[in-house]
Amino acid sequence: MSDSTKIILKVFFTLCVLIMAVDPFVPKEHIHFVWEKWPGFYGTYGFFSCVILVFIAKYGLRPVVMREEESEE
Amino acid sequence: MSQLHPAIFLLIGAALSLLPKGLPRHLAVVGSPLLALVASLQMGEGTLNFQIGGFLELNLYNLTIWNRPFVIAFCMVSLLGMIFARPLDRREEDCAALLYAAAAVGAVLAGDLFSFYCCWEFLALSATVLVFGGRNAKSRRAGFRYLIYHIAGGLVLLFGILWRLSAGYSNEISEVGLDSPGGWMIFLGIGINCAWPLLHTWLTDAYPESSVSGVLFLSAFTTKTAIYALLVFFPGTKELVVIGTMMAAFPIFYAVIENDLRRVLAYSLINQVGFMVVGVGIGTDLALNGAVCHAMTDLVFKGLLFMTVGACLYRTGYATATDLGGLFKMMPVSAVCCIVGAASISAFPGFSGFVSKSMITSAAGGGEHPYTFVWLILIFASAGVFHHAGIKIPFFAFFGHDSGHKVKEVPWTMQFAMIASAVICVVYGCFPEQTVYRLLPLANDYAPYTADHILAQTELLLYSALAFTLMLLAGVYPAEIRSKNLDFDHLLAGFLAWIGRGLDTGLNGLNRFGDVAFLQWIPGKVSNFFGHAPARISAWLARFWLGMRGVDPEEINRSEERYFERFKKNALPVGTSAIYAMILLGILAMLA
Repeated sequence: MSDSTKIILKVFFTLCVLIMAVDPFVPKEHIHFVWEKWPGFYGTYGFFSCVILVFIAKYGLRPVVMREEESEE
Repeated sequence: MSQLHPAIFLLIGAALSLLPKGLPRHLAVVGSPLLALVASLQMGEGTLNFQIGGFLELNLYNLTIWNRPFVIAFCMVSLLGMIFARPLDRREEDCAALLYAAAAVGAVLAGDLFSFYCCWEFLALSATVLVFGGRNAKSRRAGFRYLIYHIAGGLVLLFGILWRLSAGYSNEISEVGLDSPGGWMIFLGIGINCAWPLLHTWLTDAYPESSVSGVLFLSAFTTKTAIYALLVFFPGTKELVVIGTMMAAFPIFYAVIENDLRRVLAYSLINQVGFMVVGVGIGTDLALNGAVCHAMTDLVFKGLLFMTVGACLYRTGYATATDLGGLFKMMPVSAVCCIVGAASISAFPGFSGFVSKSMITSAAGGGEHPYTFVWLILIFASAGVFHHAGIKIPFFAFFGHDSGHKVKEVPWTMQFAMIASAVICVVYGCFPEQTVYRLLPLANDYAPYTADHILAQTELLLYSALAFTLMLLAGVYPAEIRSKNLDFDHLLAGFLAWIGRGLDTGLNGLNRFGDVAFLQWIPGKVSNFFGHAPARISAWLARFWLGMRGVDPEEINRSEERYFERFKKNALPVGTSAIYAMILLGILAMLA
């Protein structure tokens, strides 16, 4: 992993921590559901939905639908 | 304000695109969508009627609050696409693309169902030429499949229109609804162009096989015209909420494991159109505005993403994740534009998707009867689209592993088109009130930039990026594999093959039976019978006569055989022949 990649990753992880720290202090005025008030709801939902998405796609869908690539003619 | 139909400029451009290659041709094909765009901004109220044969009145121009934003957006993306297509310099493709744009503009401006239908069919025909643009056997086959799908869809639509007209409904473009079989057929015909689940495979099949620039037009017109049609024919139809939610959710699973980046974008196109369909289905002012707004922003950012992946394809000859990567240093402009497109489709604050997609999710969550489950799926799809389009496309094309290509940045015209699209995405995102929101059909008081909305969206996207990063670092993320992923068309093809075999067995079986029965068995028997008809008839008569007299059956059989043999050899006694002659004469005498 190159140095620039490491720096980008550090900045990115810091942002993730920062936004979670800020979350409880932002007034939730334009919400539709009660769970939108919970601190960190969107982060948690986004994280786990992506993990579930990848796992279903990788272990559920890929074994069923993946085939050899068609040869170019 | 004028009543000049913008499609006229596009049609003139299509004619001029057949000029010999050179600067005048380039100017003509770029100038015509530019003039069309100017004309679309000047459009005023009015109608343009044609009488055909004294009974059919066609209304080709009927400006409403609904079609105005579509016409302007269509003209704008055709201009951007035409600029991007300059280095390819293909006459037939420029011609088809401008005809395609003219058909799309014509369809949304049409004031009656017949004009609408004619433009709708023309969309399919001109788009097929663009699918052939890949210029190999794969794209040729995909093009024919595309044409079959859309001709079938067009026929379903036509059938629905005719059904309604014959039931006494008017020929005007107005709300149709699902209260009649004709309405359902129009619904289904539009659904095929809209790439509904299970009807979507033409899209992911054909679009990635077209040329670098052809896909820009393909991704723009067919599905967005279908969204317009749903808006005017079926606003607030609840079935659309279910269909749209499915469209938003299922393609992202495919997009995650797909290797061809243009196919990834094709799946994410279905996902974005799904949001619009949900908006149309919910049918509140906010939702309908959201559907129109998202169509306008999607036209630009999806075009931009296809441009940047097309730039990689143009330079390296590959659009697959396995063969790309590390192009950032060589193609920095494309890479930055790709990131802008990715941020826009993912709805990052400050980019165009943020101001349009959230209108639809807000409409789903708000109101008296919130669609809770739909809302949850849409948020899931928002996170998912960032995952597969927002991160996967730029990462695998421009970053990730070094693919070893030594290439230059794309020509300046392509760069210009990409930069212009990227600027539009940012301008839409930062100044929605002055740009996209001004074109919305209904009164709009939606404010996207509130502290909690910015925070929620940023948090959602950052943490789905975190999931991507952690899974990539941990080696869990599905590796890029050269492969083809089967979709519903595989099942459909299997089913059709099964029907084909059934018909083969059934109809050819019938054919064989007919051949055996009517050409071999019956004629054989008949000719055999008539070959020795007198002998047989007399043998039967003799048998009947002897039987009446109580002669032993064994004896009858033997004498019949003897008699038959003699008859065949023409060795009958003279007396028998004389009896026959007498009988014959007697019959003749009686008849006379």
